[in-house]
Amino acid sequence: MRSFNLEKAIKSWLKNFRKHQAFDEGSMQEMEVHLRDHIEDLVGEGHTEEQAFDTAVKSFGMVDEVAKEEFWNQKRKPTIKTILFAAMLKNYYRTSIRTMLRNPLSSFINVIGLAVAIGACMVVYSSFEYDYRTDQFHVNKDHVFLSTNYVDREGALEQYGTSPAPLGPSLTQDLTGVSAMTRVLDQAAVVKVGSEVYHEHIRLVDPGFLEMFTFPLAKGSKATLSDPNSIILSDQMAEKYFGDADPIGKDLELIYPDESNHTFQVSGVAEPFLPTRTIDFDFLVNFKNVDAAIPDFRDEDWSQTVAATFIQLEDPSQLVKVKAQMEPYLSIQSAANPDWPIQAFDFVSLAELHFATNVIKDDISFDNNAEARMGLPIMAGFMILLACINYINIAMNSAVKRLKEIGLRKVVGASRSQLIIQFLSENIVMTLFAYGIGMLLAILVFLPWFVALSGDPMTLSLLDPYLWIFGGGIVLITGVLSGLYPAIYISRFQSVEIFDGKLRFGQKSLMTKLFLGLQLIITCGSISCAIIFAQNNDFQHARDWGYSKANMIYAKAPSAEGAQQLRDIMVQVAGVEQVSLAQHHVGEAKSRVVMHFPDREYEVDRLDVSADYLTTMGIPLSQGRYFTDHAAGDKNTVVVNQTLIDILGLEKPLGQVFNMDDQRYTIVGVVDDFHSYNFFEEITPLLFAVANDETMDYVAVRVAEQDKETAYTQLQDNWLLLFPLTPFQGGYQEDVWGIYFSLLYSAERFYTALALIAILLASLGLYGLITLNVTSRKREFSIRKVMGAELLDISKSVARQYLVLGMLSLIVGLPVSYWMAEAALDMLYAYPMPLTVSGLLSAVFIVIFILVLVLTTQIRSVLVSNPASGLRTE
Amino acid sequence: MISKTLTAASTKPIILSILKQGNSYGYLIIKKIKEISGGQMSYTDGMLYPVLHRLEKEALIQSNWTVENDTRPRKYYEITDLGKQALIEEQQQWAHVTSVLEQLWTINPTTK
Repeated sequence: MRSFNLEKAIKSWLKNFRKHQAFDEGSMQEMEVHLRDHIEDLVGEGHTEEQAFDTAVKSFGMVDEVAKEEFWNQKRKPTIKTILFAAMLKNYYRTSIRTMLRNPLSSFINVIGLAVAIGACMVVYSSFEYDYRTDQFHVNKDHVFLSTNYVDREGALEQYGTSPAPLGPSLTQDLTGVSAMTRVLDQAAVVKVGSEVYHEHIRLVDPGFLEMFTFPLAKGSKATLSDPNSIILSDQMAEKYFGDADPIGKDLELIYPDESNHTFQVSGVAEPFLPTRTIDFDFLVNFKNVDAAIPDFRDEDWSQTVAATFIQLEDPSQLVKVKAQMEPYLSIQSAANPDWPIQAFDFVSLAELHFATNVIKDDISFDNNAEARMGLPIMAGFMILLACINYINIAMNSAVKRLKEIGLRKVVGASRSQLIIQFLSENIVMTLFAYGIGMLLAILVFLPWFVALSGDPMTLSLLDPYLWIFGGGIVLITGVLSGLYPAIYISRFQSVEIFDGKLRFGQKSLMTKLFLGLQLIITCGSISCAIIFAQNNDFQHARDWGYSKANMIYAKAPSAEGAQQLRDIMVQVAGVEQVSLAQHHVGEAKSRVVMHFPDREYEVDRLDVSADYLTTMGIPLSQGRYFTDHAAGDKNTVVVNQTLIDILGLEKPLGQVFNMDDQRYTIVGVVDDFHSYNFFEEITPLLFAVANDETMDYVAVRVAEQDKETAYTQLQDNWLLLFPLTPFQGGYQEDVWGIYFSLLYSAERFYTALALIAILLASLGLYGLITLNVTSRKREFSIRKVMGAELLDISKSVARQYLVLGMLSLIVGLPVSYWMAEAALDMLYAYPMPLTVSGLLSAVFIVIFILVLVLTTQIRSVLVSNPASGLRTE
Repeated sequence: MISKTLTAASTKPIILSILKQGNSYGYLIIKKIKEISGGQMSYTDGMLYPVLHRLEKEALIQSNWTVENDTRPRKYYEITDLGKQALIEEQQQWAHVTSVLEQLWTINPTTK
């Protein structure tokens, strides 16, 4: 008789349980103990082991039924599904970490690439968030409207932010529902406290200003703005003139350009302004002071303009009604100012003004971040795309290491959708990591850096719920974008083929090649864009202004006599070559006039200068003549620039006659185009006319280059002697564009850094990809080496695929990036750099260099590896 | 012999009651039920376990593995406060059912 083995019997009985997923190890052990207890009892009662086993098993019941019960029991709980799902995700999270740790190199590359891209996105978010906060702190922002108007300029309607001076008072008088109104007019003035004098800008406003723009006051009261003798200071100005002392009640003396003195009493000091404001003030005085400040200003005259007119409506929805009642003002205005006929009035709410400010000309709000707002998202998008494609390529290549895992999961019953979810959730875990690092990068590195560049104190607040929504969106989108294709691709494998070894991982598949090609194209594109942008910056920097700026200094004297005195002294200073007077000055001041031809009218810039001004400034003549020395003879002649000739289409400009301010003028000369303002601005049509002696207060001085500094010191010293009560006003001609060059310089650093990041990301991506590829072919290379393959054979077999693909993508990528860079430059710059191939060639060179560098390291690693170890591993 | 449905319905209060008297493990619980019911309640032993696990999940009982007196380790179940409360509810319900049945059975039918 066959002997009964209890242990074996129990073991095989337990096996029944293992079939069912319902039982965990603990439950099975519990039931084993149960069975053993029962058997023990039965044996104690005198049964044989075999009988006892049979009885115990029988009374335990059918395993299937118990399992069903247990399983049903698990499902029965209402939240059981979510618990199961959570458990699954927890597992996936665990496997994700394991996978990441198993492939530290590719994980590192993926995570860092994504982190940099996400960090850039965070900066984009921050800059948008900053923009959406700008000027939004005014309580009545939805009720306050800037009056704008449309004027036909050479066939195109342009929106202007200035308005006719009487518009504001007329609106409050004629319309109902206008609860407050303010005109804004800025006037330069000298501020004098004790012995200190400074040039400042005074803002003339109506008393409603501080009710509409709710800047809180630190001291004093807003109501004092109604008093024409009161002045309200900004926090900065209070500090500048009064230091720690309380300025309230103190006197402040203003000297207007006509040298009349007026004393104001300080009646208020504003709290420090928020950085997110574009409209503010240094000094606020009541608009009634306009008569003293600007003697020829007539506030009932519709041909006079103020910098801005704001109205406040009790009910913003009444705006439609207000707009409908604007019609009568049009005819009044165009009768008064026929050269500047307004076609239509419009209103822009304070809440929306910041975003419209680039469309509206001459408005008092501003936005110097527009360039960054366009450039940054593009670059961030590029980086995300690059990082995603990096990831896709690396994921598909590393799948080769995970084939067995995939096969096994399929065999034990994983459905395809489960596999896809697994890979996607792995990916999202990885993206979350990248998000964490990217956030740190953004807060610690990118943002401080960007703030230093833009000057706007942007922030990322972790308490901002929208930041988390945005971040979550980024994680989800990047996670799915980068993971979906690899997940679908990998889950498609048939387990039979995997285990059979039939499945050759698809390096030859079309999609793999496509993605690799795409990666190379984007790499090439981002590198060449970055280089072209950096080159363009150099180009803009080196661009000729069109006149001799390098050896010019200038000053604006308080009066015409003063200018003449200054000139007489300056001509004697060593190194001074030529000195000229002018009413306007290139880069500093100009006026606008309308040229009347018999068949058309044209608005141009006008500079009134002395006869020798053009030669002093070194503006080259291309046709005709300069003004003659005897100014009187050239009273009614003008010299124009090339742009004016081009725009008007004048074939024979010399001798051309036109009317201007009801006088007849003749064109006697044409000068080459030059840049009055920075390179973001297009050169405008412009004419020079000869000014009256009594209006010229600018002194333009040309000096020998080496004497520039000493001459400048002399200019300042002489100023002090002549006008001790007026602060010096003047400078080097090179500085008239103000912060333009520092902007340009920071933009240059910005694009250089972007180029470096792009190159870094791209090379990391390629490195990771090729390393993986080589590692997965270790066996093949080992066999080749054993069979006697030489350096050349191995190099060929490693490099072939990449070089061909690299060339192909360069062929596609170059024109694409050329076109994109050109479009971007055109959009941003009025005078973009003419694109040369050198930028593209350097990109090609860099891409090839990276490719070759990476390939060389990998070929080397194959060469030095021991084929035995390569064959041993599987 | 008590019907399957009734057995199943009464399992929860029975287990809770047994555990209220003291901690116990699966095999002992079954044994006790059989003893007390005089074999009138037929159980397939295995079916006890899903019930125990369910009660544990509902936090009416809790378990831990214990080794006592050099025997094999056993999973002991212990009733929780929540379980005691549930038992009181069960007792009320069963008492109610019994009282309903008693009333129905003691009162003679008046209608035809």
